Amino acid sequence: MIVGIDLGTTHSLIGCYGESGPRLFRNALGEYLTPSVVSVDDHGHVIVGDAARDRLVSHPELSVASFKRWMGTARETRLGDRSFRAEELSALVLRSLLSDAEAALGETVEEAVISVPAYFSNAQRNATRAAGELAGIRVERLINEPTAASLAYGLQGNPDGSRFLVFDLGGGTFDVSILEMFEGIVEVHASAGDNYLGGEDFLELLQTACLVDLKIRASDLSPVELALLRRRMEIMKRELSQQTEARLECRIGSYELDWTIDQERFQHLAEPLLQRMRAPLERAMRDARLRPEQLQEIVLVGGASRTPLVARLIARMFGRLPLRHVNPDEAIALGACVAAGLKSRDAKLEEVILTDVCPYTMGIEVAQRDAQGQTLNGLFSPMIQRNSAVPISREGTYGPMSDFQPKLVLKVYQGENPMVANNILLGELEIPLNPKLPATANQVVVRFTYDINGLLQVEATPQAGGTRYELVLEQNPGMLGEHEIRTRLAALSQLKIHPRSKQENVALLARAERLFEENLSARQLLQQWIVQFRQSLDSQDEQIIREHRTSFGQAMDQLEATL
Amino acid sequence: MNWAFSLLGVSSDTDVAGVKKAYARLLRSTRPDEDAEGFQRLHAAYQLVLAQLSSREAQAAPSGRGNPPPATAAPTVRALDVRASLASERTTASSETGPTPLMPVPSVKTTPLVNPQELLGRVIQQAAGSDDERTFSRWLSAQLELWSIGVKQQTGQMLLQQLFREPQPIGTACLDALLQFFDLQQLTSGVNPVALARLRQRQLALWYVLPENHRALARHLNLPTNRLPERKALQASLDLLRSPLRWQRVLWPAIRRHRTAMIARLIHSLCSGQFADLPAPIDQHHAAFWYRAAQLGQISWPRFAIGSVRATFLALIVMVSMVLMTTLTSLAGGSELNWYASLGVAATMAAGVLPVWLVYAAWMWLDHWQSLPEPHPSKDAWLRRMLIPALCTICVVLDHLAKLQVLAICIMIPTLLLALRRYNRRSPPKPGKRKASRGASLPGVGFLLIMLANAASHLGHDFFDDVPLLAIITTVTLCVWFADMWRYRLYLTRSRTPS
Repeated sequence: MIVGIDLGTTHSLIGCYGESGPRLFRNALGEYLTPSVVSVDDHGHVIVGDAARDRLVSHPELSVASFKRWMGTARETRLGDRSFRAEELSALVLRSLLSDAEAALGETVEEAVISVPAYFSNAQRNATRAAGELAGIRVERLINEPTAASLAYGLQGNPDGSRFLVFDLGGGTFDVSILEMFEGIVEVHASAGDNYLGGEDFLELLQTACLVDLKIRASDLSPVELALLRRRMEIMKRELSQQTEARLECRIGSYELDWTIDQERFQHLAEPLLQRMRAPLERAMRDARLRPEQLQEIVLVGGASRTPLVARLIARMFGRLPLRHVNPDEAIALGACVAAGLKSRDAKLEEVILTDVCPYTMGIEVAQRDAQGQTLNGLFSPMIQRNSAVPISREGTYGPMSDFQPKLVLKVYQGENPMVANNILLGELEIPLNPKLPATANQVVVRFTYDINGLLQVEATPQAGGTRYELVLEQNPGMLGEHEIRTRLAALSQLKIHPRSKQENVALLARAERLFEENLSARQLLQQWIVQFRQSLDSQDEQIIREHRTSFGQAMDQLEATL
Repeated sequence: MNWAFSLLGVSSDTDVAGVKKAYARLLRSTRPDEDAEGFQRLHAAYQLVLAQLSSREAQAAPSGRGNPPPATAAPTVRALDVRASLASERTTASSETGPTPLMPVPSVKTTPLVNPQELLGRVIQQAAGSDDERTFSRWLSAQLELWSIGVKQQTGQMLLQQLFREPQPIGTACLDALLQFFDLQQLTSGVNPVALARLRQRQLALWYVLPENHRALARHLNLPTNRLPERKALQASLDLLRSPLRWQRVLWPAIRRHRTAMIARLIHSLCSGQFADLPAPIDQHHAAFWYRAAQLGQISWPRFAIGSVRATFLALIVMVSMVLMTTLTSLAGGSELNWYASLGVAATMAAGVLPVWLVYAAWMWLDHWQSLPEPHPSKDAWLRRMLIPALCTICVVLDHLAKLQVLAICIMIPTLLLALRRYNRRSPPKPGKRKASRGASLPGVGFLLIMLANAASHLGHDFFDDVPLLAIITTVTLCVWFADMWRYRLYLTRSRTPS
């Protein structure tokens, strides 16, 4: 069975392609959305999902969120007595999702299609693959998120031959794709994006504005207080999507907070972020060679696209309103499920074929000699232009600058600037040349191959001697090697994880602890409840625990409603 | 072109829908995840056919079908017309969805009708008028009209055309901000990076020439900005370059080395060798003259002229000082002054300066010509290659037939030096080892060697009779020359067999 997974910055989902089309699996708490948060409890057990998100407030030093943003970097976070890389944290989320899928399917899952932002780089894609391996599954395919969303959207019965733009503003990443559907073919024309722009940034803005207005320094607040404030801000952000004004009135630590913000102010604050969204949209439109009138629809996906700011941005840029009849949270996961169905060659999807593009330009550094004989260094010579259909393979011939040159250093870059200094270095390849030959006889054939999963391969063959040289991109810093994955996999399997049946109890306790931190007035009551529930848990009688759980949950619902 | 049509299995008069249908049918047998190469070929063919169809359509209806209704004022309509025809050239197929495309909310019009030409004028004016790129970027992003994708794309296209047509004095920082805003700096924007770099240079030069930016120019040239003499010198140099090239104007700056170097640096920072890019008030020929005069390592007419001026000046100084000296010594000695004799001595000594310069210039020219790289396109390639053996032959002939041994050696030693230098300068640069420029000292060493050889041939006549000096030097020279030619044997064979 191949499952489809949306591994998001804030939430993750899992599903598969079943009898009646794509379907998502609920987690132990009965929800489709599992927060991508990992926490470690006092006994060293790993907690993932809603419970971990609650523990972000009560135990901020033992919990971590938004780790998708450091995918592909070597950054590590300390939780308890162990430090984790982003790949490992993602693997823990994946494991939790997989256990949900296995519980629903009643069989083990070994393969998956995982969605990644279209603008993810080579390193970030490799990190996502490594996360899958660490979770014990084979990642059959990485699908771009906007493409996945359009698969889900397009198969809902859409007029044939239409072009549309998918605007995907998730928790941490922003992607734009322009697609065309005809005759069962889903063809991506162009993708663009920003890997560090998402709902979290809006939250950050609100929090900074609030602290500045109330003249509080962020360094004065303890981690618990900051986490509390952040949670409040999230609620305010949601309110601002629906009403014109949001108000904060609460007590955090020793501070009495009373702050109001209206939509106009929020828009003013968010102006820099909106400006950053312009460039990818314009780029995608230009690369697809389309005028705004030629688009049939603009589809919004991703939780953060709910804010009216986005709709206003679209209206200003395209002169029309976006369409929104997909569930922005689930569209990508549903699309990943369709991609999983495609991968397993499901009979109902026989007619559907997907062609995607590579989002970046890739090439090598070259030098040029102009008419005056002056040498221009550091120029970027593109091999694979961005937004060309994948898989793609391109060949070019390059020669040394001077006669009798002993070697050629091939530097592979990714980026859009004509000067390599402004692009990202992917890797380096040194090719020995025959030092007895002049420049014209010492040329090298370079071949770039970009496969359907977005992974790049570079080969170089000197014309004089026939040896082939290949660039191995895995050796970059910030990327896990084969051997390291194995050791980390062994280390991860040592970790204790709460069994799925106990997760509801864990979530309930985490919620109670969060409420304890949030409410000063009801602390005694909550403490009493927690002690009582722990006693019931100790009795290990399933019947008692279940009854207590229900009443405990209802009591907390009531408490939260009154506050 | 035909292969694409035949690969897709469509005839050349098929419409876009037919092509898409054929593509979809073929794609099912060549899936991108199974047959990568087949897919690449198929996709390339599909793109090619679509491009062909759309260009044919553009030819059939050059005005484009998406014309806006002519309801607004004339300039606006004309501007939009440009845009429509541009778009119909660029897009793959604008009218394939039929004359009435499905649009969910066609009535929403948030952007007012704007005139891109007028908008462009405002943008350029703002760019030329602002010094700080931050405020300029903020101004740009605050422009409401430019939020609309269509307007912005069109303005961006017109912007570059306008700038290439008539460059404006825009500082580098502001130009970068402008290009970044319109996303024109990147590869796929279709702008040649070299042309863009030249455009930047032109605009920067225009900007530097403005009097209020002279301080920035001085900073760029690493001149002290707060000292008056340097600023005056800069101003004088710019004034000089503005006037056309006349020999009287060249004389005074030519004899001052620092001034010549500064003028050359100024020209380099204004145009980096592309004289056509110099802003209008500066005379191109004049600038080219000073630039080439300051280029070391090779001899050119400007360099020769400047050198001659300097040599003449030196000769005059020598002459005057000689005359003064003889006058003073004769006055001190109390003897009678022989005017004619002292003037004659002075003139002879002064005249000695000029041949030295001429020989030096000739040597530089020869040295440069000989050490040109092998694949250098020139008609006299064979003359250049055979010069050294020819000189050797002349020497041998002089020695054996004309019995002019001294003259033969006098020619042979510079030839050896020339061969050595040719070998050295044409070999590949070694990494980590900088080549010392010995060009200037070599002729001096050469003359010294000639003198020594001369003296030796006179002094130890018997000894040198036994040693075949000329034969040894000739052999060494030819060996060096042959080693150099052997390295480049590939080029020699290629030039004989036309490819």
